[in-house]
Amino acid sequence: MEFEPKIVAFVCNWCTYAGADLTGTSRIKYSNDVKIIRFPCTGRIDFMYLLKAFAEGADGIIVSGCHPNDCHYTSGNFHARRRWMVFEGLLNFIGIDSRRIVFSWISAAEGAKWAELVNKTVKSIQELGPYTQYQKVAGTFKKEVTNG
Amino acid sequence: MDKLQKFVFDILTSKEVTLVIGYENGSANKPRPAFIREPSDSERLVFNEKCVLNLTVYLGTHCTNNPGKVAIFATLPALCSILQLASEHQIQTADLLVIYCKSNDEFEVFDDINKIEELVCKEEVVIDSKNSVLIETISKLSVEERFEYWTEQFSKCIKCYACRAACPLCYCTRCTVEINQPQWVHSPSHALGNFEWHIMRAMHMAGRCLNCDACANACPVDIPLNLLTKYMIRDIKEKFGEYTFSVNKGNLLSTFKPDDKETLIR
Amino acid sequence: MDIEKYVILKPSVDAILKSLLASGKTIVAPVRKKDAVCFEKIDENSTVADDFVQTKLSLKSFAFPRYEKLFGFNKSQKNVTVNDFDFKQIPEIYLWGTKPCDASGFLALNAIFNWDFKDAIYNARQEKLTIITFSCFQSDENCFCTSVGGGPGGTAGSDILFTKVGDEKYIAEVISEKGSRIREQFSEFFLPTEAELKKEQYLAKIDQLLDKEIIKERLENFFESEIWKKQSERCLGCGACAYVCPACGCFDIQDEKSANQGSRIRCWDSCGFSQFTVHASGHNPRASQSQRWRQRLSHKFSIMPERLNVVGCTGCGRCSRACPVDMNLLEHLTSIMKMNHDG
Repeated sequence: MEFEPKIVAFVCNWCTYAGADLTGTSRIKYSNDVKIIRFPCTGRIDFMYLLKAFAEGADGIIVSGCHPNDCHYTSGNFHARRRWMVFEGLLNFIGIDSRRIVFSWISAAEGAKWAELVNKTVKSIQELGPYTQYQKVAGTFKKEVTNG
Repeated sequence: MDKLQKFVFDILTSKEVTLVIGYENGSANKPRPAFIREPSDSERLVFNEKCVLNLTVYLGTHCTNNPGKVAIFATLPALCSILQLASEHQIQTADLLVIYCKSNDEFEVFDDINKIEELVCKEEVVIDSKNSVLIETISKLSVEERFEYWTEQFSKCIKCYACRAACPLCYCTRCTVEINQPQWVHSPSHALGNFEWHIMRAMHMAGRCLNCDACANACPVDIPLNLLTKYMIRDIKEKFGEYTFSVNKGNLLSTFKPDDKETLIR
Repeated sequence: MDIEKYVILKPSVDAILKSLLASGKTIVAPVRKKDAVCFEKIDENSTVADDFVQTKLSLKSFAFPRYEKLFGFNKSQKNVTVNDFDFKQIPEIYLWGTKPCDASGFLALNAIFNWDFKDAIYNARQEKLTIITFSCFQSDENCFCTSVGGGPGGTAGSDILFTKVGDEKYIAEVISEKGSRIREQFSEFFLPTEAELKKEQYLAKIDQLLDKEIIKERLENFFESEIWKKQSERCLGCGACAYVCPACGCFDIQDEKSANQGSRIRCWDSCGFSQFTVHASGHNPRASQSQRWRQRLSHKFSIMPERLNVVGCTGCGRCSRACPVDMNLLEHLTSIMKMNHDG
């Protein structure tokens, strides 16, 4: 049986979430391996949420919001863009595989793009496999004790 | 009394300043911070190549309650931190006299922050060769090997927060790890707690890090923390074209350009 | 029990270690790694380091770990099950190559964890430790064990103490029941004591620089003194000194949860942190670093001796070595001693 990855999607309410809605109403089929978390804006997405998602068992993450210049709050996605540029570099240096995080701009009209993104991400995470390396580290606090 | 000590003696006697934050010789002749208020105590002050601790970490706490001006010994990274702290409204530069110590008997005095900025702008923020080589070596490992390397380094971490305490830019009176409604970052020193702490701190330093090595020097278990922040300095330089300090420039992550270029967002 | 003295040859000491390892016992000993020496689990291929002054971290983590799970909880529908601490999983550990100042640290921790409430988990871990100490023949300027009632050949807290006398011989002092068990197991190695061997000749020379009774008395009178602000001006308020200290036992309790299950975890805490004494109301009785520094010294050198009959310090010097800004404890205590009675 093929590995069904757990993917968490952090999306903005005004564009990507609405876009995902459109995907549904358009009856476009896409993988159900993704769990969507709705934020008012990508600018609100703290980088720690991504780490927490990995710690809780996510194998892959999608972060998506409005295209630049289309942010409902004018500039939230510009701040998010800078944050992700910096975060991605740090994650790679520390050894947290940033190929497991997919960043995207998807507008409320791009229902097909949402489906395509999810399907593509599921496929790439299937190829990368479950994220056991981080989950092992995350599970250490559930063990009994450490000495040292 | 050498030139530096004489200068301090004079400014304290004339009451131009009431407190001088400098270095003195401590145990085993290693320099440590000194807080001089009496002119006669100026004899305790030293400056040499071992004086690398960033004294601006004391500016917040010691300046606010000090009656009168404060003078502070500064190395080049400390000049950067004064600019950064001023841009973040953490210090009142009108009450600050900065003694830029270049060597044992060469120093320059600034009381105008714009002059400090002029000087800092001429110096590029450069990662030293030893750490550059280390960063290159780590970057060449595979992703899994890098994670193993940092897992091993962070296994030594005891969460003492000496890195936070020594960093002049970690000045939050209630740090994110001290927020417990909910407990956002795990505080015990297990692997997950250590990763989250160090990643979070590195991100909070993004674009602000002074390249002063205070964090790595303070760490009692010798984790090369400065590799994380130095890597980010290099990465930010590549992605945004520059890494500078200024009183008027906003922080990297609290500003943006509509045409920031990236290749990671589809 | 009274301390029993023996002589033991170096090959016999090595044989004891080899035999314990071969029988599957968990042995923790000092091992050199690059520039530093640290205590870790060894096997028959490890080289035990014996020519160092002190490790960075103390041995307290073997009875009082950096973090430990006190119990787990699981909620399903309306039922909550608690998975209590499993005392059976506590390993038996031999601490080999301990220094006298590490061993005496356990006495301070024993007092802290038993003074009003007997901490079952700490006690269970401590009981499973056998502490085999080697006297110090070298020290550095940060050591001051002799000033707090200890010494480079101190027996307090150890089960057996070996003192090297020359290249091939040790004096062995069997101090406790656990030590006796080892002596009985390896009785052929423990030879009759030689009266002419004077242990003191082979120990590091550490002058006693402080009088702990005078310090205690000064601290009792110095609550309002200016010295606290002066001494603590450079203190950054990190937890390095508390975490490396063998006698510091302060801890935090954290509940770490994930969905419907979680653990209650005890982990190290430091009285130097600014939020250490924050009340639920928001009031902080020790809001300044000088108040926190005053508490740290008073706790160790006045309150603990007064109430628990043990000094909260072993003179190991780790705090001074670890401190990023050289808060040298020996120096601070010396200043306090030099001040006159009223502060």
